[in-house]
Amino acid sequence: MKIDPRVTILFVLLLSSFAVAFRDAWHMLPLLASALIAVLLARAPLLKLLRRLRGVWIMLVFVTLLQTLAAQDWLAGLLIAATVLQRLVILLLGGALLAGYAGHVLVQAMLQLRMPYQLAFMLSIGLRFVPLFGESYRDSLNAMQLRGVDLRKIKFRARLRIYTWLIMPTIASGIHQARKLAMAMELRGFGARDRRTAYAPLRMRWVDWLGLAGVAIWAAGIILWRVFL
Amino acid sequence: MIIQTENLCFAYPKFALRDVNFSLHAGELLAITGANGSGKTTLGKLLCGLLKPSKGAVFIHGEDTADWRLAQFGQHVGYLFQEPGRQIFAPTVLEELTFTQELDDVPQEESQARAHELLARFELTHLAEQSTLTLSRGEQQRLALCGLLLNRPAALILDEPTTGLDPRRCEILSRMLGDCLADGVAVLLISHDAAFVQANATRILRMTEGQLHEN
Repeated sequence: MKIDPRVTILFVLLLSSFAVAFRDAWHMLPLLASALIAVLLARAPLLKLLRRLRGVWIMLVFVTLLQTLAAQDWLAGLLIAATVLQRLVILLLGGALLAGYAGHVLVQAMLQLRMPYQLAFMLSIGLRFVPLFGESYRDSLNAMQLRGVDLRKIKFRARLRIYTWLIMPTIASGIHQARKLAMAMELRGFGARDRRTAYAPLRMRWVDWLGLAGVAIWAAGIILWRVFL
Repeated sequence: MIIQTENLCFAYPKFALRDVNFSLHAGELLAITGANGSGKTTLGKLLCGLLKPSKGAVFIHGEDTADWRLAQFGQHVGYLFQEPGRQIFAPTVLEELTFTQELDDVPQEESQARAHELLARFELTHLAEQSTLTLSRGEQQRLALCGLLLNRPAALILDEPTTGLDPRRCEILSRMLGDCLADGVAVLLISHDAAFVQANATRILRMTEGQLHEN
């Protein structure tokens, strides 16, 4: 049984706010643990997300190493790196929790949380653009290799320049698609009326209220952990 | 023989191509026509390594390409995407034609001369210093073609190249294809444009539900 997306949104908001506010690895630990438990309970598509974000993982390891090496005291550097790493992982897990819901369900949840429709719709469109960006980037990478450029064989500096250039067609096609979408939405009268009805409004069940109570208790526990431990 | 296929099959997982056998020779312009979804673009992508066959094989210059990397395909076959903007990378038109040569350590003078020669051939000289972001679709397509020809490929695969081109640009494309054929390049043209196909093709095959037939 999937919990109401409003409860999940609230949990993810609190989780990411704590992750940004806390400044040391020790206080971040319960956040990481609760994010992992939540992902397991929600059966969020974690493995799929991890596979998709392979590049991000490499970057995370790189950032950790850099942070450790850059600090004068290696232990302090390692602790800072662990904090940064935990923070990023928590944010990713939060994203995985939300990725388990269909876009229109998230929009509906945001609307019922009193978010303006235009803003909620923009957010959902933004989420939908992420895989499109990935696809476009892969196309550009393939096209570059089809020009006979063997990325494994060229020098590091040249490779860096090539990767920067690969972003250009991706962004250009993203902007182009966004423009087309905006025009199509205008033509269909998006935002022409103030009041909207919903096909499937969300209703809180007893399990959702229980989840909400759980989130409240969890948040209080985290604050106490931060203050007293 | 430049390209040859042997019982080529591809599934998406539903079969898109079944037992496709054909060969493409130097100096030949082979056109593949057929309805939407008949498997034309899939065939093009298989021939340039963007897709791997489910069964069967693609041979280029007689060599089985099963273990080839994309860059290896790129050195023999040029593939023009339906959306040419996706194969343009550099900030300016001239840089677009010089950067791959720089990677191959071609001296700057030589690479610029080759780039200018191609720009002149495709009537793009006046755009040499212009940003690639401001090009029209037709200009993007001609620039993408220039980029492909830099490698002096043995074969060109053009996927719907006349989409969005006015008659004048189609004429330039025709002339360019004629030049390529004269240079011994083999061209595979995937197109719906019956008039363009009739005017340029040396052989026409029709694709129906993933199978190739003589026209």
